Amino acid sequence: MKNIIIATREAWLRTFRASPFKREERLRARKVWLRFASGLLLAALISSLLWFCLPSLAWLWSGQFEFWQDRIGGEHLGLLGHGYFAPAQRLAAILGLPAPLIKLRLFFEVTPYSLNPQNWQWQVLASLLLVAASFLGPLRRLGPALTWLRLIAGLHVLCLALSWFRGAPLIRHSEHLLALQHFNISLLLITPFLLACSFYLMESSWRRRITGSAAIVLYQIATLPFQVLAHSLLLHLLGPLAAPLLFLLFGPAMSVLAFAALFGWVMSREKPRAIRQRTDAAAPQAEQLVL
Amino acid sequence: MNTLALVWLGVLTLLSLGMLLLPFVPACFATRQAGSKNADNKAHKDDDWLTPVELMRQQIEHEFAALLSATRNSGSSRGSRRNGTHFIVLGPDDHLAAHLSPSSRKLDSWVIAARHLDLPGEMQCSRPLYAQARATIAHDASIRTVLSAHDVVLGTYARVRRWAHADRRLDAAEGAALYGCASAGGEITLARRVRFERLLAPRIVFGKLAAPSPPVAPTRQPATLPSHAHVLDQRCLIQGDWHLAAATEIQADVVVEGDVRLASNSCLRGSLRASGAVWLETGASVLGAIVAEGGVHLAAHCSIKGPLVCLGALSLGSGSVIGSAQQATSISAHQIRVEAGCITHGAVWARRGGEVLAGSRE
Repeated sequence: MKNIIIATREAWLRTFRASPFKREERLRARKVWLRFASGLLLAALISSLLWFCLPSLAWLWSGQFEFWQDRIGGEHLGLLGHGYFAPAQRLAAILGLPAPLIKLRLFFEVTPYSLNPQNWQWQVLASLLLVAASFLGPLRRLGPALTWLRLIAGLHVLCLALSWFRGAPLIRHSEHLLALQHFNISLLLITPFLLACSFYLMESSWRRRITGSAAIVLYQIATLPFQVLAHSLLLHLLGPLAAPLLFLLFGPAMSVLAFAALFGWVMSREKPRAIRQRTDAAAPQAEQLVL
Repeated sequence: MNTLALVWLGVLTLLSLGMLLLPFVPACFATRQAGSKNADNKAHKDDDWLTPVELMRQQIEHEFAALLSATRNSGSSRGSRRNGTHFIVLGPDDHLAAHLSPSSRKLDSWVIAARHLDLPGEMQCSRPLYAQARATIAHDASIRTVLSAHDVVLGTYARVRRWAHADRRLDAAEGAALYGCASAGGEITLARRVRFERLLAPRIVFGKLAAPSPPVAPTRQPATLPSHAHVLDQRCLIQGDWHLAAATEIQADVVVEGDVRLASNSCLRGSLRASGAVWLETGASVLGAIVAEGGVHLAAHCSIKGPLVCLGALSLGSGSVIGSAQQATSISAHQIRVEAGCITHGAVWARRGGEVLAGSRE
């Protein structure tokens, strides 16, 4: 009987007695929701700012392209043309906003457009030889990198085969470069919302939120022309057959990888209070318990 | 392409590579730092449980050392820290009750005591408590953390929310709840109906110890392994269940693909791994580790030397001893139920929770 009374009392205490920690937990939950809402607001502000600055950014990128074209290009290299950032117009139509006309420059299209059979055969042979050689002794030292090498070679052979059956390269230069720029600009516009769902929830300081977001956004703005230029040059050198592999490996995947690396850095920055505690206190000698 | 164009091409290539690799630079630095930290920490055992304790000790030394020495002459003081939380520093002859209104049941301040700290009953504290001597938490109090350079005494139905550490001894009275981690430099004593999650001390006593009976060395006959066992070196694999007869002993490391039952006064001189459940009857002993995918049930007066790990529930009968004073060990189980009179040495980790039972099962 005594045990029943004690068990009943404990169940009552656990269920009905108001714990101060429940109030703490409610306050904590409210803080998280406020942080999410404020993060969304900041993300909307940054995205809106980027949206309205897109024409200016496109003008800046065009200026950079012309700068490099003047210095690298010559009579053999020329401006291909330009495209438009179509997603902006579609999104603007959906939202009922004025569509910014974002002109994207594309250039370094000089290599002959038609499929060169000799070039195709040589590339297939080289890829197959690479895959075969990866099973031999000398290349085995590469270890796990061998798997990537085989994957890349196999992918290249697959793209070449598809091109051969199609009778033309899988992707045109203009499509390649336009798709690359479309992806990077779209990533730029949604970056604030990605941060709102992750970084802003963890970080309550407005200064750190803004500096972290600015670092990622500015990096993306600065890198886009260099990425497009590098792709243009490589396409010019390697030809249209290399376009699919180049796009798969060094296109959007590279942009996402760079974003993830910067995101990791921004999230792992130490707070000033932690730095103070770490530098002020001497490291303790931990007790050792042999188990 | 002329020379100047080639130079510009080289510049463009370098810039592009630099921009491409720039996001990965912090990761490279972090990897290098982690490598050097691992090299520095190799001399220390990785002990996550002491980290919050040491952190609080550092905070006390850094922020309150001057105040503590001042209170020895001038008496207690109150104030607020840099982040806005309040604190009360008690002198050697001060009592916390004098700083609280009679009807208050909530305490939102750090309490740092130069000697003893007595927390009144039914108080709810959301800030850390520290005492340079004994810290006494009265009945039904609910605290977050407590650190004492001497002893910590928890009253009946007191609750610790995060962790409690005593440099010497930690006593928990009947019905207390130790959520999080409870550790002591000397001994932890838990009364009946105490609930716990993680315990760490050189000696942990569950319930009231029975009067020690004179040791009787049991006579054991050597046992043999079953005929279907596969033996390799000193390791033995047994398919199916295994039963070690009463008053027998065997020297082997045994892996059993089934349940294991060690009858009364039997002894396994080695380690045991079972894919099922393990039962040890009265007086059985294992001079090694036990790892079981099922539950482990120890009857009275069993002893296990090495680590005890099970994925299921663990029940310790009265008078069981896990580990020894010379060699601490660790116990890990999903749920732990301990009868009065058990002693363990080292760490006890109950993932879902553990409890000291009120009475004997028999």
